[in-house]
Amino acid sequence: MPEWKEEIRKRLVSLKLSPVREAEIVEELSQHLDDRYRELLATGATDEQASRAALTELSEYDLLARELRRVERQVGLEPIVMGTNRRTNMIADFWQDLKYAMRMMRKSPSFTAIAVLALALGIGVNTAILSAVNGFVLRPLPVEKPEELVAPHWGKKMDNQVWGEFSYPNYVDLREQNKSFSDLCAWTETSAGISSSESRKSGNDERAEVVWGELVSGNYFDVMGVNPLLGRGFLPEEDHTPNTHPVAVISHSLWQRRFKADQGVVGKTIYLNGQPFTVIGVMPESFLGSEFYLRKAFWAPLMMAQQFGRRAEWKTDRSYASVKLYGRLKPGLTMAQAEMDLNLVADNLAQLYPSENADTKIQLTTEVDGRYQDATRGIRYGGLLALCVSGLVLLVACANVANLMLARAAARAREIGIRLAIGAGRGRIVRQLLTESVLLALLGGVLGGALAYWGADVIRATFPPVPYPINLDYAPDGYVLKWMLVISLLTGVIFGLAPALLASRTDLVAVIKGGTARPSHSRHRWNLRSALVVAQVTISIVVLICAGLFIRSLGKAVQTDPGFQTENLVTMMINPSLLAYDDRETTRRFFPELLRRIEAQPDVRRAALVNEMPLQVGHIFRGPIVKEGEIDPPPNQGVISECSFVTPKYFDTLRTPLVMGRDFTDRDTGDAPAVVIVNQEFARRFYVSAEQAMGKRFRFAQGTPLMEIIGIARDGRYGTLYEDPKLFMFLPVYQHPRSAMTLMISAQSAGALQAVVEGARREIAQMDARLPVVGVMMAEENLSLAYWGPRVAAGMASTFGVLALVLATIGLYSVMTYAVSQRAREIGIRMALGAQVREVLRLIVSQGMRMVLIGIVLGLGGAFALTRMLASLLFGVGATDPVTFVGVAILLAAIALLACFVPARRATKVDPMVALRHE
Amino acid sequence: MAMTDKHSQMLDRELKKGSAELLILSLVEARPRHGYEISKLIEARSRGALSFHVASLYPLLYRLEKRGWIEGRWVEKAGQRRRRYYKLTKEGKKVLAAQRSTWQSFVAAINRITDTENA
Repeated sequence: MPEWKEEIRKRLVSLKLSPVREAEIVEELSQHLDDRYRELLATGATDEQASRAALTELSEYDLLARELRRVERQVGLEPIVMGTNRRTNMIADFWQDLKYAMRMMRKSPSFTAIAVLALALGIGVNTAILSAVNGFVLRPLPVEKPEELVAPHWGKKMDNQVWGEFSYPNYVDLREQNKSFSDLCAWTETSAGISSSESRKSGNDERAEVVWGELVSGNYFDVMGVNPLLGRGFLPEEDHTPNTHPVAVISHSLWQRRFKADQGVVGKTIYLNGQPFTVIGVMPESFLGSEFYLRKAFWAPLMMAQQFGRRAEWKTDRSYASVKLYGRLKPGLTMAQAEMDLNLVADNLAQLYPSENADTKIQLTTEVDGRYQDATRGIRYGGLLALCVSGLVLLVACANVANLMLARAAARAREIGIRLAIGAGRGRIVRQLLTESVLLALLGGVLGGALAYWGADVIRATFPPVPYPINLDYAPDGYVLKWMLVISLLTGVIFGLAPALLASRTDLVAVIKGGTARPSHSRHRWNLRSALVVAQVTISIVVLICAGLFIRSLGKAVQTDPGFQTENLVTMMINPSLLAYDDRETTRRFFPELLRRIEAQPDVRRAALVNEMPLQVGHIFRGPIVKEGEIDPPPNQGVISECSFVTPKYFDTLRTPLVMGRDFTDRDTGDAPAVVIVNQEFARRFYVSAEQAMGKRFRFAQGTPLMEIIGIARDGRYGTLYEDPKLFMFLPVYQHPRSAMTLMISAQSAGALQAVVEGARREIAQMDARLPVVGVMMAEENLSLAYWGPRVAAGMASTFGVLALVLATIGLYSVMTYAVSQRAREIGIRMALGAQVREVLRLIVSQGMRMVLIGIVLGLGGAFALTRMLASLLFGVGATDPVTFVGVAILLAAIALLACFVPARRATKVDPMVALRHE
Repeated sequence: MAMTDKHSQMLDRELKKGSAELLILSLVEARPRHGYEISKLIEARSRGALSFHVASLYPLLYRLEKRGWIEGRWVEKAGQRRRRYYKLTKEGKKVLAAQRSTWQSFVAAINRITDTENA
């Protein structure tokens, strides 16, 4: 009988039928041809004739294929053997892999859930941290070509990196004499009271508010490359003569808030610090000013600086560094060339005006790089550290998922072995497994992204209350999401590659023999799994120790005596100069009257004013210090000191007693001899001891009057809780008139705080209803900024630490469970031969704990090396704090013991007979 | 000669196509039959005037099956290879009845015309 099947198949091949359908048709048709052939033989045909006749009928006019094509549905080509290299169609393969990967994930939901969750946590914390860092220092300003915006900085030649501002006359010379900038603008920020009228009488329906704005040179908007939404920017003549052109451009939000988005706002009048300004333009919503973190409400010409409290000499005094610069380079020039060019001008200025400009230099940064000066060192360094630590957590997650994948690869060894046996290429198998891991990672990434959005909110919520319009936008943007995708893909490859490579080396003979399809390199695999556990434990130890150090640091910080007491204290900020009060007038009349009225309130124990509370944002430096009888140091040399401007009773209000001498009194006014109170460190530095400092006199350079030291204050913390003792002076505000002050009121009891606030508000309103009171803070809130850093560090570190611990525990547990399942038979034999439960337990647990101990030792070593970098961020705790190191090691060992014990215990419960039958 | 031959073949095919469905449905009406049996029956009952070979018969069977008019089932009988038997479905019965009456009126109409010509 001739073989028809091949002939039939040949005619069907163009139809691309599904294999099952094709087989059916071939069977039916070949049977028909058999029958036909036999019939022809019976009628006397020869073999040859019968066979040819039957074939002719099969081939008639190509009918078969043509007719069948109309009937049979073609199916997509699905090879019978997954992963064979039948054809190299990348995209088809990819789809196939993807479908298969999804099927595999559905098949083991618990594995998928654990892996995705672990990855989501790892990727989520990384994204959240990256968003925060991005929000602080990476996000570009919404101006034209933000990356090309260059900021020059001014400072002493001897300093490595300078961040100083420029005096206005120096700016003008630089702008005119440089050859490398297409343009250079100047700006400085200022706050202002804004109101709709200039009346001082109470009863106006609109309360004054405090807004931040910028005083800018006429070319500012051109250099920034932003155009007003309505109206215009500044004209050249508005940038020429001081105090002649009171015009202002306002922000989108101010326009909406105060002018109800009135299209006809241009030409209207607003009152800034009580002075009328004509609105000439409105900026677009995205533009918030020269800085990324502070929302500005208005822009006015620098020429109006005196309206905003600048001294009259600001325009001519070369020692009055008051403006920051932004510029754009001429095409083709590098930053280095431009810097050299500016320094030529600077050298020239140094020769012409040596007393202000000698030994100074200019450095350039891009605007983004320049932001580092605004961020404190803690934020800068902390951000970097947080990125590193969150990266470590992601590594633990990767190691964890890699371990799960390995365990699963073992379970799938038979499947993979069969695929290899029927012709799948190794590369193809690896690609398939990698697709699975990348898919897992992407799912983890999506979930992690959601976590990051949530995390951004958490970070935002932790930010302490500050009386500034801070622009906190930490939600992940396109830049962050792009990185997250990269991280996810990379993660998928990192944790997927090794398991995939190992899995593809399955022992074919074992599979074919039908035995346990063990990988041929089972030792390898075991070693890799152990190594992963060791790595997880190691990294977890490092992360946990970081966490422990920060938590202990926070504990210490909370216990630290900041040098003053916030109990029963309430503070609020006022600034009469916003309403065009004169500073001298304010200090002579307004402040004493205000304090007298407030102290008359029944619940008030004491009240005082200070320009800035300790441990708040910034402080003022004065100097250089010149002792009586000594001459001025050379320009830009000598010692300067931080200072606060205070009213009498400041020390009493904060309950920080003087160690020697007397407090300021109401008689220490401008007409009385100049006096000063210094801290112990100041006294030691200049006069050896407090006793010797008392009654001595010193002055600031350049002919300022001598001041007598009338008291010595105890050393305190002024900037941060971490700082070493530093020089500090207290100057009587009645001798150094200022207007922007913080009012501090010490209440009789905590219960009276609210009443005290209300009373203070009432008294201030009675004195001038338009005077805004902002930034009311009660008791410990005054310390919230100081505690914020340690608190965030401790919170983040604990989150990371717990995450790393949980992930490492899961990893260890899964490895031990797998190891026990592999040794079930051996354990069964041991038990059958009379081994005690205790011995078996010891056997298994010691196997696991060996890995853990190696990890702990490595981790302690790593932490010892790494935590030194934390030293500057820690407070009151050594970077190698033994309590933390030992505590973390014990904690991890205890949890690891549990993770080993549970599977071991389960193994001993197995019936030896069952275990012996175990494949 | 070749021309006429091809012409007649084409006519033959077109005619068959038009009537083939009816033929097959009729043949499986009484009882299920397999493909070879159907082709033999057509040839025998038409006394050799009509013949369906493998290449034309099976696509037709599959089409009818797909439409749900007939249903194929593999049947194994002792000592024989399994064969696929086709039987008429409920739906097929309705179609057969309709086609039959259409065909009969069609043939009657043709006959009336051709008979008149001949008369």
